[in-house]
Amino acid sequence: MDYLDGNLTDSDQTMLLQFLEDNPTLKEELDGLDNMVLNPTEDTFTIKDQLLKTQADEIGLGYPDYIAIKEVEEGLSEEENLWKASYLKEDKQHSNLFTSYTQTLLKANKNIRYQLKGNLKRATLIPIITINKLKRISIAAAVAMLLSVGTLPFLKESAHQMKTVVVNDPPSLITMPKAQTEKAPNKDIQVKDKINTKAAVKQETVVQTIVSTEQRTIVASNDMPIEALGIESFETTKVNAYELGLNEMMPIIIASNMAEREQEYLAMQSQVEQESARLSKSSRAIVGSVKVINFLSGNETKMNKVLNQDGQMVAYQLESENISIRQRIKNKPVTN
Amino acid sequence: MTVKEYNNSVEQYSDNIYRFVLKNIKDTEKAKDIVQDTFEKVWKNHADISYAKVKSYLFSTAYHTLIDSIRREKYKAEWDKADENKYYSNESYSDLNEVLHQALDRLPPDQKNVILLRDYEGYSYQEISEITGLTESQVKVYIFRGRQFLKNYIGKIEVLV
Repeated sequence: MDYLDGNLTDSDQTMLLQFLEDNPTLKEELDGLDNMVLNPTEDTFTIKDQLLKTQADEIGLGYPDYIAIKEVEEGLSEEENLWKASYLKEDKQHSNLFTSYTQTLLKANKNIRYQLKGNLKRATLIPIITINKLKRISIAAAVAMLLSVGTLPFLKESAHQMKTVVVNDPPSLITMPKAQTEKAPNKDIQVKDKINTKAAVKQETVVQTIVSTEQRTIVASNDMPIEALGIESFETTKVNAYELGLNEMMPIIIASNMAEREQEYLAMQSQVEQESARLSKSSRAIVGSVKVINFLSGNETKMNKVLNQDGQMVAYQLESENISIRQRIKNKPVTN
Repeated sequence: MTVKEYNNSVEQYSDNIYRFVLKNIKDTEKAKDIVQDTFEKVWKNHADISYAKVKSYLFSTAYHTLIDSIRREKYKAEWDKADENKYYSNESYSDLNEVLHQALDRLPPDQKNVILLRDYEGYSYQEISEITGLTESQVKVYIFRGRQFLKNYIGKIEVLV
């Protein structure tokens, strides 16, 4: 069987043939087996066309639709044109299929227009300056501006700024009442400390001049060149606006209050004087009349006077055995 | 591409882009926004884009912006209705082109876009492929299927009328 199937090697086949030569009966049997080979029939598969695939199948369309669309889209090959011709011959209604597909081409509505083209367009300002350069310049400008603003507090104040501080000294310093004039030197010292000049002696002289003269004179002197005042150079100091305002305003308010109190004090003084005079007069009259009564009745009368710091009578007390009179200036405290 | 060339492209193609987008989303304000975004993106890269390819670049950018927008709004095509002949309309149609555009709205976005690019702008399969990112064979399949749908839609409307 291996020999018939052709599975023997050449050497094995030679040995087999030699063996068959030696055994003629077996050789005849083998010759009979050689004639038992089946030959194929001439039958053919006649519906091969039904198995053929086209691109229409790939797309999922029927072949007529595919051809009709392809004609619209790309055009037909010669072979496809022949197929179309034969297809149309089969039925005249088939032409409707091709007509339908030619109608599926869309047409754009040209009346629809984009109205905001101007917003999309770009302009070049100067050919040399590109947008990137412009951006860089603007960034640099912004940084410079921020730096300048940020360093403002650290910059030294100018002499002009220093002068302004001196000009704004309150005029109240000039019109302080006598009792308060002792505080003026303290104020001078405060102003002097603020200025903090190198030429301390000269500066003190200037400040004293400012205090002792009128405001107009101060302004005039401030308009003069700084060198003319003998100030060689100023070392500016940082000014706290709140502190400065407080220092400037408080003396004005205090002076105002002190003036009011001074007037009140003067008014009170005059009233005390009047009252004291009236009291002395009345006390003398009473003492005289009491002495008369004592003389008649034989009783002893004592009189105590209460005086203030200025030696004015502010109250008195009259006592005898049968009578006791106390009198004082109204609404004023009496101390012994 | 120079600034001048960019401005020329605005003049030449903004209408086309706008029509293309508007036919897709049916919202003039959104369409304007997409056109603006598209040109803004092109402007940012204008130095790297050649004027010869700017139209394709514009449509490609507009297409992807549009798709993103549609996806965001979870747009759903009514393909099933058309396929099963469920659509029905009692509107009166002024002309065939209007009917076709109504049919177009019933297509899935991909089919709709490739047909618009094909018919409005006359792009080849390859160009549409480059714009949309689809393969050339996909573009062809979408166009053929879309055409069949449009033909069927016209036929049904004619029957109804």
